[in-house]
Amino acid sequence: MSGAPDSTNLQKELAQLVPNLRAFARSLCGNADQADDLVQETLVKAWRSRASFTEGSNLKAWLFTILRNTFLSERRKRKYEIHDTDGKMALQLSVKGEQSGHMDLIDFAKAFATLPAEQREALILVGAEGFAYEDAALMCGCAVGTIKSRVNRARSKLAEMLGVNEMDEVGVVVDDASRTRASAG
Amino acid sequence: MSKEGEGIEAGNSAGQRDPLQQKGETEVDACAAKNGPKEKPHVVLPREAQGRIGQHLRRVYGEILSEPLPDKFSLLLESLAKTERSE
Repeated sequence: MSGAPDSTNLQKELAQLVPNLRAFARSLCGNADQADDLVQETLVKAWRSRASFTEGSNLKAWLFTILRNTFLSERRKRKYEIHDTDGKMALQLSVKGEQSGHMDLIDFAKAFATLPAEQREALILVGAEGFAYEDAALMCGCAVGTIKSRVNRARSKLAEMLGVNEMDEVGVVVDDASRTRASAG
Repeated sequence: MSKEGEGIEAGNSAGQRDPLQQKGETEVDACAAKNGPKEKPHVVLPREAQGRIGQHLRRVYGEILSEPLPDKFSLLLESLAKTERSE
């Protein structure tokens, strides 16, 4: 039990991370109600296994890993359907389409929804949540290079779909080592 | 075994571990981090396009983050804590 967080603190810290868990869950399963169920399940699991969490380590990464594994195991049981194909569900927005100034965001969300699930996940973890590539790789159980490649492919596809910029024909080689843990968060 | 192989192995073992046993050991992947320069270079978008995609992503994600939270989450956490206190 040593190192396990005090339960009052943990309750507070979990509450603070609920918005992030909801957003990540929605990017995975694409349906707001199912995403909330997934978050609730994650909170219960996290609470029950809190003794295995070391205070001071990355709580968000720990929770995201639980959420992700719960999602994958539930999906295997067919509880959560995947909605990638219709291109409208993932990263569902609460904003109304009629609201001016939000059209570009809605277009973005639609384009995002058409990406393969593993690319959406990688882009959310690295691009939206600011996890280091190394941390995202640990959370997804894959090599760092795999995460980098998924993020790059996701960005390129989005840029292409949204006409953000033409792909540089030669390509630009970027040394990702310049990305540091300090920039995460 | 090559360093790259070690990196892949580290990732796999993390994935196979029971998530509930995982203690957020985010530092163990140091060997994979060192692999960075050895990996084949990625062809990526120009910086400016990357930045614009990133901006959009964070705005969309931010919309979800700032949505009002239903009470069910705080009620759940409260009941989990209460159950513990009565144990």
